[in-house]
Amino acid sequence: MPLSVAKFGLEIALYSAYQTSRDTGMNDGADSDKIIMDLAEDLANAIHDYMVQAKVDTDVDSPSGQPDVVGGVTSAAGKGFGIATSLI
Amino acid sequence: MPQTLAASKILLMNELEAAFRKSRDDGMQDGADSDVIIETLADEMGTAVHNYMKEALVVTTVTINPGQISTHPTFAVGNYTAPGPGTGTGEISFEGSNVDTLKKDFETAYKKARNEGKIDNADSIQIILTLSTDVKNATDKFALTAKVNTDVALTGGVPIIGYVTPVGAPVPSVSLPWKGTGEGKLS
Repeated sequence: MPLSVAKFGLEIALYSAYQTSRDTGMNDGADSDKIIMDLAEDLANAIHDYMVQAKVDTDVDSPSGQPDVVGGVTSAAGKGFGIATSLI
Repeated sequence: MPQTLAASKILLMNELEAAFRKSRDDGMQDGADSDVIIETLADEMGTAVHNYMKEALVVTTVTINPGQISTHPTFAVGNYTAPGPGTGTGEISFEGSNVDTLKKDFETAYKKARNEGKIDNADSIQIILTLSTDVKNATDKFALTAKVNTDVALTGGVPIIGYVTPVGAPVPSVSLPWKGTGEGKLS
């Protein structure tokens, strides 16, 4: 899934994180350390879930000189492409 | 090599937590300057996001277009008749100016939220909604500036047609493993 689609999930997750933080902070005896820890975890999860969905496209160059089993070699660079449907 | 996003997520969480904690602590001081606090928060959030994203490990499936020409001192010329498969392994990187833009965008988002919160009868739901949209836009804009670089390993095995002996007999061959490089972007 490209980032252009994943960003909608990111926005929803960010909203949920901030809203939870606000709601928890309105409670009597709210623990700001805990709220901050939860907010940081929720934001990190939101950004991570978004980022791993990135699609990758590369232009690939292979230099001349690729050997073969009978002793020949390519005389010019090869061109191609690389793709990935997610990041690790 | 990058350490992977899964591994660096812990670092992101810890750096965000430190940034928010500092922001809270600074805000509790007498005469706290909210402009300075937000600028510091945005700077630390931007650094945290950058530190996290640049640890992405990229693994691509590579295809080299057929049609390469191979030469042999005795068997003349052969043609690569099929796509060449391989794997690219690498990382993403960001220009410093784009990291600066991310930090500025975070700063703008948080200052807007602060300013909207100062208005009488401020609607916290709307403020959070706007903040979420602005932080999302800043993050997305930054991620799309990533540059991808990979080292490519071609597996070989591509049939090569066209070699002939001096008396005209065909000489079948296949390519051996080789190398390459890839450059690209995220989408």
